[in-house]
Amino acid sequence: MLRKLKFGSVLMLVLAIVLSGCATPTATQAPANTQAPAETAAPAASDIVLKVTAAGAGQATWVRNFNPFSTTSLFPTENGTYEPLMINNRLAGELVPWLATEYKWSDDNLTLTFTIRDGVKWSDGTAFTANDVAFTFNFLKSKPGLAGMALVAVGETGYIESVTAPDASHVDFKFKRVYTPGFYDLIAQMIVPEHVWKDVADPVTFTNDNPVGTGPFTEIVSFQDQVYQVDRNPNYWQPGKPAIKGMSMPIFGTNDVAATMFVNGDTEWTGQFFPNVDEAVIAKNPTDLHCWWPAVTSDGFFMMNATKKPWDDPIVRKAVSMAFDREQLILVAFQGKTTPADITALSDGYAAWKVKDVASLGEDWTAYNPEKANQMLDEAGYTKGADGIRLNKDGTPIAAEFLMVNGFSDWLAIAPIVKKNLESLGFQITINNYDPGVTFGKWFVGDFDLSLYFGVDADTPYTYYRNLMSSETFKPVGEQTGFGENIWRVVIPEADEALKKFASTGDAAVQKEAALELQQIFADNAPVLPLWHAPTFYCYNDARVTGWASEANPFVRAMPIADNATGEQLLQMIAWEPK
Amino acid sequence: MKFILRRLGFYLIAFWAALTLDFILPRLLPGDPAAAILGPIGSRMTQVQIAALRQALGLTEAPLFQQYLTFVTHVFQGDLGVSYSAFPAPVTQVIGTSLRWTLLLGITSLLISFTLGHLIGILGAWRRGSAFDVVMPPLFNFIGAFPAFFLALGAVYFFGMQLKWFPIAHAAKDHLPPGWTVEYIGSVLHHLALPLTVSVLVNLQVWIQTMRNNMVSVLAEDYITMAEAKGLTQNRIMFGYAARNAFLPSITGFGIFLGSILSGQVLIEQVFAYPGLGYLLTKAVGARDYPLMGGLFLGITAGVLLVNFLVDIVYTWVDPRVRAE
Amino acid sequence: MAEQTLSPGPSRAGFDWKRRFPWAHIILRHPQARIGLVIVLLLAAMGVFAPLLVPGDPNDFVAIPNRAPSAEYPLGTDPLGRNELALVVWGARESLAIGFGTAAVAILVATVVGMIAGYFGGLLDDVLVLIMNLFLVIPGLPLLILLAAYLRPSTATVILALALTGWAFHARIIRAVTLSLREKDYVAAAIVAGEGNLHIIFRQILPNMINLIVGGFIGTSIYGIAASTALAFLGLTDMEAVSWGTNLFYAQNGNSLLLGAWWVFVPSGLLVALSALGLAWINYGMDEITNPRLRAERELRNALRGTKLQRVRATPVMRREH
Repeated sequence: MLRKLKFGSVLMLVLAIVLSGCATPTATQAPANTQAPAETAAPAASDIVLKVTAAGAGQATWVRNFNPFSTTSLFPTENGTYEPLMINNRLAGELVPWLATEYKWSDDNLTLTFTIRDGVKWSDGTAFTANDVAFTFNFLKSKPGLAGMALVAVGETGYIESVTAPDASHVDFKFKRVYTPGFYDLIAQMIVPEHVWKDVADPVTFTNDNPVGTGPFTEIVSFQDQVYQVDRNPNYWQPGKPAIKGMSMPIFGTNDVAATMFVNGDTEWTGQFFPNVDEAVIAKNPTDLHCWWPAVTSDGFFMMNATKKPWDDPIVRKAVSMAFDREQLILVAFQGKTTPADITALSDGYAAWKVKDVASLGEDWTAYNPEKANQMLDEAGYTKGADGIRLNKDGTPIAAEFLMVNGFSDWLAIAPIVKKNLESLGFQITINNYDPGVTFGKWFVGDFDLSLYFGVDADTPYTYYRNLMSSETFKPVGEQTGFGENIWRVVIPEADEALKKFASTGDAAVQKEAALELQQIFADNAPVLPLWHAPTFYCYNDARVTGWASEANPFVRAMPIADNATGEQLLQMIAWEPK
Repeated sequence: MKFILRRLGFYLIAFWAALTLDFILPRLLPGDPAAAILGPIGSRMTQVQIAALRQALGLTEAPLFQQYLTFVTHVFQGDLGVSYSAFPAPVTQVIGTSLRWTLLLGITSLLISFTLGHLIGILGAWRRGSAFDVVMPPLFNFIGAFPAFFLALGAVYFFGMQLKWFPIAHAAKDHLPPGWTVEYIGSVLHHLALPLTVSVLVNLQVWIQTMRNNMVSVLAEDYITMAEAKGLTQNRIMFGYAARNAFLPSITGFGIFLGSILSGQVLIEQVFAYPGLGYLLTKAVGARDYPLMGGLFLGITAGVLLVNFLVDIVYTWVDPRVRAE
Repeated sequence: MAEQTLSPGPSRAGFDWKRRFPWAHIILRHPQARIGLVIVLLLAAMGVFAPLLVPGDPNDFVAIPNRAPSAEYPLGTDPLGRNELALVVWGARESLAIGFGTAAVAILVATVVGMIAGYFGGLLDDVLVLIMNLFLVIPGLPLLILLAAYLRPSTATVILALALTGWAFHARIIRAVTLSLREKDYVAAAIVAGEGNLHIIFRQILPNMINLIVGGFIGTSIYGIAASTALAFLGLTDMEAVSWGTNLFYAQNGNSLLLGAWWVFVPSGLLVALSALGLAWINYGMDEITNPRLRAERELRNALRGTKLQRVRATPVMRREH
């Protein structure tokens, strides 16, 4: 009996030790900030806290980081807590003044001056001035290791000579050379307060736990492993906005979980891609749940590594393109929720720049036509061997690896079809799946044969085509290309000419002319194969909040993104109205 | 005491082996280990960040032995490097947030399945051939044959999505401030219910089978016959004599099965998006966050070794033979 | 305990399979084991004859994704528009191949290492036992995930990783049995007679461990199937190879749960469970060989069946029912 007791008590003791370790709630760092300015300053319009799952935020637990110069900061640090100078609204095709109200190029296109908005305050009540803007760009320039949209402009190889604030409401950007498209890099940079950041010793590892920003959502009122809440900025410069109290970000796991949370109303604004969205999601609650996937940015691409044979040959690339049944691919990947791409690779978001009649470019290689594709290859000297395998010009069989990415459900879904389509030309194809990180690594150093690519987020056809086919973005195999920059490694000299023409002028007519030339060059060379107009995944629940961008009210593409490159989500944030 | 010290020595060696494995694995890859480790994420990091990471990981130009020393020193200082996916958070901080949930799920599941499994095993062996014995052990055997994540998916589907009785993700209701409030604890239990049930169902059969087989062996021993002959009550024989002796192998089994129990839990956490270490591990793999993966592997191993050591201590307590040694 | 049922030394006279392979004999007489054997054989046949049962490449796109079962596609289509029936049938190939492949490699290693350690003893034994214990105590799945993350996924690497994490348990048992067999008279006699070590190991000891090896092979197969399914479900294996695990991965990837598309995930999951169950049942037969009391137990129960006799006490005391 005694022994039994002893044994029992030891077990209990052991468990007690372990349990006490686990039961102590340690996730309560939050209150530090709760007594901040809070509700008193702003009119308490509504107590709605919107539940948001942003795209690109698939962590297991939240780790606090609201540093806008970091690549791992949490939603809504960029374009939520911090704001840019201006927003390029791709859908509406217009420039929306934000922290800057106007801009002006000097006559020689070497100085760009922004007028800074009056009456804007930081969330701690300090006034926002042109000095903050100049500080931000100079800070980004002087502190190595920071990330930011304007890094390409102010970095060592950048095109910006200096950034200065001549007075409290103007900022001058001096260019080293004429480079008008640089405008879009500059306006998208998140602006930080000088009075806070000048004292930050190591901004690379700084996690900025309680951010001070100009954006609509700045107050971190709670932060736990699985959820954090960011409330409205009491000093927001747009009166009465945002019309809701705050946003809370529950963590989500697998796609299933994210979709179920949305169905159950546990998230109300999401940038997740849901396979079979109509049946699996919308059908569960058609009154409140809505998805709208505008396809106004880039096209989705099929890419071939042009440093390898036979992919360097435009005829082969065009033949490959014609082997793809784009309608079927779209049906399987997106359940038909977007449209096939054409030979300019331009979506409706570039309507202003696009050639009126695509057929006038004299090519049709995005039309499904495997017979013609085979015939083109035969005629170009790529004959089939006895075993039906098509041969390179040197007689070796054409065999290639099709690189796929784990977790990309839309791509995984079409991988087998792509393989079949390629095999219909007589190529030998192996599919290999890698995790995203590995895939990115292989892409960027050119260690792949064939793969898909999501698209190139670019504000103008200039950046777009520069990334698709210029020598400027080209890197030899083994060296890393930038994100979305000429991973397929095709250089077309004529494109360089046209790009230069575009960049070195401020004249819209000349730029349009250059854009048209670029489209012709793209159609002639097929450096990379546009498959579909890449949709922006966006779903919302309007049970509590209205004012959503939708097909009927398409004022912006309103996808919440954690590591954000565009300010468009801000336009949605200020449009909400409680129901 | 000597036994305890010997075991302690063994666990230290085991930890060193895991540590070394964690060091060697990335360096076994062809090419520059830093490129392999940092390559995936490198393109999204600046040179300074990469240099800092290299330093933290000990991926310097120094000779291998020196790198190893740096690595080991860092680990013993509690520095497991910096997580890529949560840069600049150190790995230990990321792991720390998940630890308590894994412990909560793991320990409750272990306690329940251990107790329940042994009871069923004892009763089954005691009433061999009875309806209970014919139904219960094979039933749990059947359930235990399913992959843990498959049962979890089924539970998510029926009880989470269809009936909506239980939440399908997370460890507690969002927005509830953590604390010793009825509401919060209730919510934690509500979220725990499904993963816990699945975990218990998956683990139950191990204990039932071990205990039942041991009981069958023990019941044939002479001292049981002797006890019968003495006219002791059935309960006394069942628990005081048979079960107590049949129980000994279960304690050693505890250490061995801990690994497989943990494996099941990794997948259960993944399906329920339960924010424990297992879920974190699958996320780290998905993001190819090598420092986090390595840190989790080391942390989980250390935990398993610790539990094994505690089991050894308990074992010396209950088995006089070991003590006499 | 195990050696009690082993045949008493080699008999050179005639080939008596019941004597030589008592496990086969017992398994065939054990009802549960018989069912298990039938299940496993059927599943294996399904895998082997997959090209005949459902011809064509199972990865082919055949119809609109997530189509409910119909006459044309009895198990419907998966989220990739593939014929689910083909995936399930062909999945048996890869899943069972990995399971049996893992078992073969792991048990080979376990037998060699276990026998060397047990037979030669001394420092070698100490070192090998240490290694076995290390592999036993280091948690398997996390190590497996780590390995899979570093190795390029293919069927072979998955088998190797699984074998690496699955061999130690049986090596330890085989070592223990070798140790006790070494003390047997006939082995001692062979050593005295100057027989070579290899001869003794292969002719005297190994034949007496066939039961254990077969049991271990079956047990490790279960582990291989279950663990490879888990790895595939996490997306850590070759995703182009159709296995039950990859089927489940794509089911999850395609929101089948939300769609209520049961046909996409139920069959593969059931078959994994069924193969594990079938193998486990075969092993019950094996258990009776290593633990004769279990067999005595069952035979007693069978003897009692249909009689009015009922066992009421811990020891086999019988009493007529009133």
